[in-house]
Amino acid sequence: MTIQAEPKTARTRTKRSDEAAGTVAAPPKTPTRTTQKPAEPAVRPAERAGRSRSAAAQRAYARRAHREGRKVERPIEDDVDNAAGRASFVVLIIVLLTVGVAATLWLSTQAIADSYRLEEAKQEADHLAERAAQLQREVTNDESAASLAERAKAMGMIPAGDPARLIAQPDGTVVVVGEPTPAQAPAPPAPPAGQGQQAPPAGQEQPPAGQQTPSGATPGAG
Amino acid sequence: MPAGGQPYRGTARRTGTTSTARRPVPRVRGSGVPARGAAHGSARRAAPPPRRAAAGPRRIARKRPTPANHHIRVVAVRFLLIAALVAAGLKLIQVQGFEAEALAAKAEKQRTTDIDLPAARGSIVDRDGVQLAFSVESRRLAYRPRAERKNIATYNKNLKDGEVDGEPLDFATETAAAAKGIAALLGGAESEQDLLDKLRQDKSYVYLTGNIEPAVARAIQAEFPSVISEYRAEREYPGKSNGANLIGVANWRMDNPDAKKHDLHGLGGLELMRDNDLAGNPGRQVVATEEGNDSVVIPNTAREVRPAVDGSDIQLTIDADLQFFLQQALTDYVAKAQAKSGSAVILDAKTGEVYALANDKTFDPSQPVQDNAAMSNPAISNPFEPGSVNKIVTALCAIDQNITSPTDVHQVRGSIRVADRTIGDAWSHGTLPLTTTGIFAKSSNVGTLMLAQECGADKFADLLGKLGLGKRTGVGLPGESPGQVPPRGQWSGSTFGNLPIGQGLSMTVLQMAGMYQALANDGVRVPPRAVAAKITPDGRRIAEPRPEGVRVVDAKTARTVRDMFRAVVQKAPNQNSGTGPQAALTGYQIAGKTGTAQQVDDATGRYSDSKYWITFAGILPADNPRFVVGIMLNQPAYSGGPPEGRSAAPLFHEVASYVAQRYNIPLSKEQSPIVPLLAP
Repeated sequence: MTIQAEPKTARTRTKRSDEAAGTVAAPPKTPTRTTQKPAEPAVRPAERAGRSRSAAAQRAYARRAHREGRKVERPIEDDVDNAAGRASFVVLIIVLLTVGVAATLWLSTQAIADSYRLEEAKQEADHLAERAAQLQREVTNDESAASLAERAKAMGMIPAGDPARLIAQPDGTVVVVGEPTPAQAPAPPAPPAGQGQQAPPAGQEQPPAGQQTPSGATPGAG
Repeated sequence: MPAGGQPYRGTARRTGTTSTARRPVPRVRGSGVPARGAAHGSARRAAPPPRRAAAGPRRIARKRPTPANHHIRVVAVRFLLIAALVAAGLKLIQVQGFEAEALAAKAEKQRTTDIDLPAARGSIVDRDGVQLAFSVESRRLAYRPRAERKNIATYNKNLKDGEVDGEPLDFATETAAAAKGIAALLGGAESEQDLLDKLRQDKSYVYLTGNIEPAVARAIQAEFPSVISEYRAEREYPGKSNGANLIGVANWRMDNPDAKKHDLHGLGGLELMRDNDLAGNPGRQVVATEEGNDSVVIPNTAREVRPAVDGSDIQLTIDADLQFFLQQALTDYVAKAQAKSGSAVILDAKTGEVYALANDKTFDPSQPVQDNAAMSNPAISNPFEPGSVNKIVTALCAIDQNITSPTDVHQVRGSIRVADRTIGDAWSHGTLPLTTTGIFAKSSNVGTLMLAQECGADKFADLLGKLGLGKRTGVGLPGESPGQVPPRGQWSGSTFGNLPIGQGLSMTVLQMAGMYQALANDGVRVPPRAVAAKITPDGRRIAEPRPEGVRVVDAKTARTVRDMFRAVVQKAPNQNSGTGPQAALTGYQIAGKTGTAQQVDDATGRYSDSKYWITFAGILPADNPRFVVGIMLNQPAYSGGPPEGRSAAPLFHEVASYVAQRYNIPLSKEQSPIVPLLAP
């Protein structure tokens, strides 16, 4: 009853007085009701009884006023209006509930479906990351100095030894510092002892020739 | 009460509606003109309610004759409802109160699984970010032969009893098929027969493979669900033995009884020393899974997530390429010199950063088993007597005290007596008029001791301390030795006859290079460091604390001594050559010092005449120092051996040549001047 959104307290009071009148009107008909009647005020707050009394009085005044003029037509009209409003309100709530439940179901289904898709995507990302790590590992292994040196050696490359350097002078001439010497081709696997004995005398004679020691001897030692 | 109250209120309401229905006429009539509320919309809806309301009183009229029946029904329903409520309440108390824990545990077990989130171990990178050690996730396959046998037996029994449908299974054919399939998927890493043997072993748990790629493991598991795949992390060392003595090795540890604590941990080197920084903290999470199948995780069920914190990266000051070169060159040279061992180090002349630190013996951490003996780092753990390289202390002292100048001439006799010992030069000579430069360039022991005695023992001892001898450098690598310098209070008379020529005290090759770094850095010694920074998982770079520089001598003294030591590599006629002309590098000024120290013969307890430490320490380039190189060879073939056995200078030349190319060091503006070593 109280759900109705009537702005004026006077109207609700009128309504309650209707109700109260109904209940009060009932007792004489059946004794059971009279026995149960006291139970109701016991449960309901006492203030309500007080209010209903004044409401009943008001209603009486209202009736009288109605007979005389048209001032109090509204409460009666409200009742019918309330019934219509009540029905539409119930329908509205039911529709809202249904729509809400349906929307919740749909959304949660979507969320679960999405989370499965997310899970799959995550897993795929993991696998791709794994693959990237594996590839990175291969690249890092291949670009390390150790494996590069090995591969260079396999391709017949040799360390360059001491370079000669060109210095461009301010006057445009170029000065060569050091003695450009070709890197020695790797000697076919010779006994390391023989190699070691050949290179040193050269190394002691003049510094530029000293590079023969590293470049010539590295293949023999390796 | 609510059950009882309902009919009354219902009746009341209906009575109310009947009363309204009784006079629909005045309402309609009245509302025709003034009613404001009815004007919008409610008038249209007003039509049906009277009809519905009219149905009310009729229904009530029918019910009214049987109030007693109704009451009994109400009481019965109420009783039933209360009974149901009480029953539900009792059950609730039982479930929530008495069996709560057991049931919760059971439910938990059914739907949740703890999943460990492993933390990735940090990498070790060189100064340019080249990875020297890093971790890769991998898997190891295992099998439970006994459990599988039992499973198949149970299944066959159920089959016979008619409890399940299907074909009977046979353990032998199952394992044969598995071995064949796994061998094919592994691509030949394991032979089929080996796998079959392992699968049929009478054990509860066998490992089928070594570490394999996770993708391969997944493929195998998809095909053979009874195969177990264990998480592993593999430590990769792409440089193989490059820098292995510094970096050390980490491997997968299973010694902890708690399987969740199994992880990569360091065995030696930086991997062990900085294990706490590198390891990180594994995390875990609880997820809901399908019962008995942990791999099907129900989405959005992760809770109690404690994310794993990856380990930090460690950045070294090492240059991987230079390190590789130095190791190769040193190993080759040690072989040529027929030495027992050797170490070498390259320092930045200004910052003292270690660019390379090599030993001739190393190991390959990427192999499963290592030679324990090769895992040490003798360059910082094995001190040696430096020999003439230590004459730098006397030179610094003499120049700093203004005792002499580089061109002063000293009459150097063939030998000198210090306390009870007579010390001669490496070559026999009469009295020679050597310049101060000549004394050091030709490495005259007698001349050095003459200058040292003028300098005084206290000043000399003070300089040794400032040069960092007898103390650990704090390079940040494990197993560092402080070397040994006799404390000033314990010097005997002959001690001061030994120390200036580099005997009777010991230092590591790192400390030796550190002395020359002070010379190169205009008299300020910056203790060497090998670890540059720690890089946290979020990318923050936390630099290692920089050591304070130690002022050893003033800049002028350092420059004078540096210029003086250029004569060591000088090549000139008339006995004006230094002791290490092979170290010279065309286009660059080189300052350095050769050294030869006798080793104590364990058999006799005296200095040996055949076992030596050959050393060299040099600065490149001397006019604008960039790098300091220290080299030590242990017991090379000195007498009668190859020339490499008598001097480490050629190795310095090789290293200097490479370094000059690698770092594009500009050529010195002018060549080192030829200075007279022997006065005419």
